[in-house]
Amino acid sequence: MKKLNVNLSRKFGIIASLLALMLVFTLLTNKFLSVSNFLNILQQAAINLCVAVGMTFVIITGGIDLSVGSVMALSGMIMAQMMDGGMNPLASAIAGLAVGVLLGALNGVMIAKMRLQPFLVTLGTMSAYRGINLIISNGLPVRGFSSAYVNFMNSLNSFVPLPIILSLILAVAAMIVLKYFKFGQYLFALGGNEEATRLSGINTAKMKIMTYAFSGFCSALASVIFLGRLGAADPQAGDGYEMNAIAAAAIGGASLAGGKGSIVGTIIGCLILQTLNNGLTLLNVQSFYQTFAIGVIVLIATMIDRYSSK
Amino acid sequence: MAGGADCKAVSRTGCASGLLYKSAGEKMNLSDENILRMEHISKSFGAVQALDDVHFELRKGEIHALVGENGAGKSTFLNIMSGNYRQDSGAIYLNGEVMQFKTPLAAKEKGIVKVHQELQLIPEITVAQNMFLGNEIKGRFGTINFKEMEKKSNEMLKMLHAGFDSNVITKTLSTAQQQMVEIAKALLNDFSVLALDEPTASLTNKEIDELFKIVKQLQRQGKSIIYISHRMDEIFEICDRVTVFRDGKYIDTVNVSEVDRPALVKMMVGRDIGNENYHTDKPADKDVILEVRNLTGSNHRFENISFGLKKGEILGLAGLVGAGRTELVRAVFGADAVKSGEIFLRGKKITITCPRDAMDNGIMLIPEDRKLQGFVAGLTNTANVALSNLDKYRKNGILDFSCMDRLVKDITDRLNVQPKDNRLRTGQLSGGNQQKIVVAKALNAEPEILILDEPTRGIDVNAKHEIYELIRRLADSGKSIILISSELPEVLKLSDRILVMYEGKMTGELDGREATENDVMQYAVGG
Repeated sequence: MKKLNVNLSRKFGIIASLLALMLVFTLLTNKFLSVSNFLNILQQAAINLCVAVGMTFVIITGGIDLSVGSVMALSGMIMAQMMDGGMNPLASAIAGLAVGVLLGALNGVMIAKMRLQPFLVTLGTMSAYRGINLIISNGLPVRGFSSAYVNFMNSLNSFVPLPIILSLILAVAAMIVLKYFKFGQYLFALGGNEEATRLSGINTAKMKIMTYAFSGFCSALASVIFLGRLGAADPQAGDGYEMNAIAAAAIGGASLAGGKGSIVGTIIGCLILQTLNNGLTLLNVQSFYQTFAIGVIVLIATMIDRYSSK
Repeated sequence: MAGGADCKAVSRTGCASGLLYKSAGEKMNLSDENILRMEHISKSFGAVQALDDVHFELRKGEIHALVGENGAGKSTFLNIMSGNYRQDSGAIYLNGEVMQFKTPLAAKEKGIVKVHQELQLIPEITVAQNMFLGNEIKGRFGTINFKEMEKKSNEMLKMLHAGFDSNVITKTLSTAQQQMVEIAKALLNDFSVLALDEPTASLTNKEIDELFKIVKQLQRQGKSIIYISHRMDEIFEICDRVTVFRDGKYIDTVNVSEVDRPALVKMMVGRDIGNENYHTDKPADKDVILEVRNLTGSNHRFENISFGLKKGEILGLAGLVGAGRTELVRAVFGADAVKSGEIFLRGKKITITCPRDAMDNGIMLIPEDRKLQGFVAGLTNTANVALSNLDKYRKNGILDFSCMDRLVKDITDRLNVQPKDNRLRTGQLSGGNQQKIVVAKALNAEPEILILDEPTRGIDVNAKHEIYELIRRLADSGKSIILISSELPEVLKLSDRILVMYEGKMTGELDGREATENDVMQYAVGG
């Protein structure tokens, strides 16, 4: 009961922060409050949301995935090269997602089976995956691979753009899994006390591999959206995206100690970050200040978390 | 300045050791003077009233037992006394002066020291570093004088007959040895009030004897000791007076010499507890359900172990701490790897490589350390209990939470888990109720074979009684039980058959109804 209240009040707290932020921007600029701008925010937030959903799962287990940006770029590059070679866009996207799952699972195997630390494993693969990407692309971006694909992803004639739909489907599915499926219950138990979970007959190693594979899948899905929006695969894409994803999850209440986190929180975390970005851009604030503001927001969220859980 | 700190540390420890060495012949002098008085203490956590207007008086130079069931408020009381928590109302008087300790350090400076029930040592550093943590002896240039710290620590450990050196890394020690370090650490400080919260829970008999000698020496030097234990024998052996709490309320304070065991138990639980024989008259079943053949652990903590477990039998596994009992059952459950050997279930060979395999074969383990291995502190009671068998609550792959709440409540009600709110996080419960949650989780898996490793460690008489009855009921209903306990009377009271281990080997088998403590000890020390 008490726990429930704390969770609820925390959730209301971040929702209130988001609304307050929106109110401030509404008052400061008349360009902020419009349907098209809100869709714009959602669309811009979609990529980070995909990555952050996977990150939230990983963080709930008590781990971290620093390789998400590199996984995103590498799976995107493979997709682009396949389409460039004349392959069907849908088949290429599926292949890209499979690559993401594979790269994530590789992280998971090293963490679960070889008992290496998540931070170090994904720090290593962050660089290794990026390196593979640079090698296969010769460091050059791939452009103009499939206009059909790009048009499809940017089909603005439909009211709600596809990136928003894709990212929300992912988030809602993750929410349902976390709440109503065995896997979700086990995830919280695993993050709270791995040994007790293992002795309850749960294959914790398999769970971890699946979690990192899911994070890889989420990164690859982000890159499906990214490719469509940009129409290009850049070997340097996704650099620093792990930080935005971790920030969104942390603002949403996920604890890096494990056992805590929610998808609703992560969605709001993404929206807070993107609203801030969008609003400051509309106000013509230099991007240097935006970076600073994001850092401050993360710190404030952490402090709120610390003192509300006391 | 550094030199000054050095001197201070030396004189402090020197003082404590000097006191310990004082002649044992000094006359015992129980003065009536109260060193510590706590009046009208109340404390609540959310909706839970942990303490309700309790009193406590501690005389100079007495050993004062504080007893009560789990959740009676003993730990909360000690936490208030030692500055960990702050009371909602009431006053603390130390030598007649009103005190309010804001931190444990403040209480320590006033001479009130507490040895924790749960180990609070840092695993990765040496014993000496742990013992002097926050009080390091400084050398000439402000650097830490490790040599001096090790020397002082070793002196204290030697006095406790601890049998290990202070330069070892703490995590390499057994639980009992770590408990010894906690006690030694407390003794380094000069103090007037020492609170020992379940100090013997994981000690061997020899270590307990040493501890008692030290406690009595401290008493002769005029120190006052508050002693919490669920082992009645200990209270009658060393304590002068006893205060009873029940459900957060003060019941009474009496001289130990003026009460007997049943009377004290009655004060604690508020009613009479029936006889303490849990044996059955029913002849044992002949069917061997589980058979272990020549099992050897991958770490050689047990070797070449063979035994059979019959249907509906309670098989006691006795032995000293470190005899390999825990390692053996963990291997049977698939929690640790085995090197060689075979396991048969109803005559059929089975392979167990992980806990899931064991559970699929109807084997469940209640692990030794509930906090580290038994439950997830941050999850609700419902989630913890359900964890072992979520498939039970699935409809079309989706979890049915109302069904889960209901079925889990059936089990927790049967085990009398307090408070009766399964939405509480298990970490918020008292030790005994946490243990009941762990038992509930095991029962939720619906095992045929239940292995219980120290099922009553650190829990009160009433909860113990409930768990004994439960074990007997399970056995009578046809479940097979393997019971490990370091409390010999517990094994003797319950077991149909007793196997004794010594240094990783099986040294004897005894009939549970006829065996005496002496018989078991013969085998437990090597036969």
